[in-house]
Amino acid sequence: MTTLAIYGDSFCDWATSYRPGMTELQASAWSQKICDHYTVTNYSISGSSLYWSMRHFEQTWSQADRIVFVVTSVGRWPGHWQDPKTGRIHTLSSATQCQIALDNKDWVEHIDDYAAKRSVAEAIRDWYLWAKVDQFEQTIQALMIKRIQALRPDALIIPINRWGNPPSIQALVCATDYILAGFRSWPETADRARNLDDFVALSQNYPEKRTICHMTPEVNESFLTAVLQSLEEGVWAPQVPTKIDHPMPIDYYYYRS
Amino acid sequence: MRDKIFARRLALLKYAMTIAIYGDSYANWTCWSNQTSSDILARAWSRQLEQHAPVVNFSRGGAGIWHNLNLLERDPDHADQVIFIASPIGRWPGVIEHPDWQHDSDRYQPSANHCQETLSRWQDRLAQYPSQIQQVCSVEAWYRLAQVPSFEQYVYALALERVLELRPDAIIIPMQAWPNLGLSAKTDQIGTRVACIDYVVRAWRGWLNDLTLTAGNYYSLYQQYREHRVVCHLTPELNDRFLADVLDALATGTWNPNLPDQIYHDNPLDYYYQRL
Repeated sequence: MTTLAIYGDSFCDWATSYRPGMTELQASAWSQKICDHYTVTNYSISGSSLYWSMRHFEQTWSQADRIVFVVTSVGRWPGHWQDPKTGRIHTLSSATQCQIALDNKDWVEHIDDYAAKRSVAEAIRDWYLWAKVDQFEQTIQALMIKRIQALRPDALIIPINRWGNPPSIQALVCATDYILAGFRSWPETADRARNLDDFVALSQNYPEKRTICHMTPEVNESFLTAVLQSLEEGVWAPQVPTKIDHPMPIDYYYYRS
Repeated sequence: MRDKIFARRLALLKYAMTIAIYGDSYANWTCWSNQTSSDILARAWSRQLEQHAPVVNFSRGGAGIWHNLNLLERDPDHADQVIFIASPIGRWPGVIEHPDWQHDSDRYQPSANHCQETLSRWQDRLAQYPSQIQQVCSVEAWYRLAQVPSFEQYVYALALERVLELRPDAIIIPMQAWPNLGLSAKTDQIGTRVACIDYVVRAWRGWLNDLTLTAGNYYSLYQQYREHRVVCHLTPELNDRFLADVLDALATGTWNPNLPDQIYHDNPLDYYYQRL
């Protein structure tokens, strides 16, 4: 079977779960179902930075026949912590995540040298709030994407959204375009799911309940079809459906905040 | 040395080359004006270079490679020749600024040491700018606790690759050596070149007659002194030498100076540096 390497964040990571009931959804994740078609090595981790993926990509880019590279949000802290007891990777992907780590001792209690790590979490939070330089983050993202394209011109590069992306991938279909198509299937959100700018409000108003890789099973299926077809054609330029129908009402998949 | 400089100057004038300098305090002589007398400032290599050819000096004290890459990216063909001082890996890429600060010299890009220095030395001035204080504190904490060295090395290599792509002819001078970055032989090789810091270290070897001093271990000594008759971190004599080597590089297209193990000065160490 053809080998496939997947690099990315929570949009590809079906294995890392922190919400109750999520495990039953894992089988419907696009990055899990694609294993029926390819021999897959999935390097993605929820909350990870583009650098996390690049580190793995630099070491493994020549090993797989095909590559899907999901480009995460620009400007995530490039480090990570690993819980020595559980092996779980903590990524501190935003100021909010840092605050959660600081407020919830259980979240990091297994990590060595907890007191020192608290100071680090504070420093990372303050970096997000005060010291992160957007122009730099965008420049390095552009350089990393250029590097992917230079090493593997055949890689499918799929941005999760468009904010801060360099011109080279600005026009590409995003993973969130599929999620918006899902929101268009319910009357109460159809008019509020016009473009990516609407996505932030929708994701705040409708926290995820029965989703995996941020997508409902139906959206995962549609996304999988697009990825499989693009892998065959060698280019990521799918036609996003206007809407992706769901058999269940919205509150089956999402909470209302 | 003066003959050599004169010959190179003639060559530059012959071709009417314009030169753009990108770098940090090793190249920006204006950021030394508060602490250095005008006769010493005049000896800065980057200022002396202006007598040889039209120079646009984009360098800024404390600047990291990103400041300079962004400027080069905006207009890579701004000048016929490019001198790119590759400042150390891992400098914060931002600038502390405020609408009230009208002059470019008001804005600053603190390096790790400068954050603490800024917080103490500039305390009075910053007192009225609480968000700027918060920003400096956050940058200081980032240097100390949140920086990811492997990431800094990786993106530094990407930046250097980009500089070489934009200007393959750029004379790239490392400010200090860097480890194997692992991205390409080209970027690794640049890190082994004679670095700006090597001029300083070899001068200290001359004063102290100590060949064991290296860029890695001289810093504890250096911290016991304050630069006095120094500009761009170099004594006037070192600036002359550095200028000659830069002119050589501009003429040959290659940065490959031949530095002796020890560089001697007519004056003792405490003529150039004040002991703290």
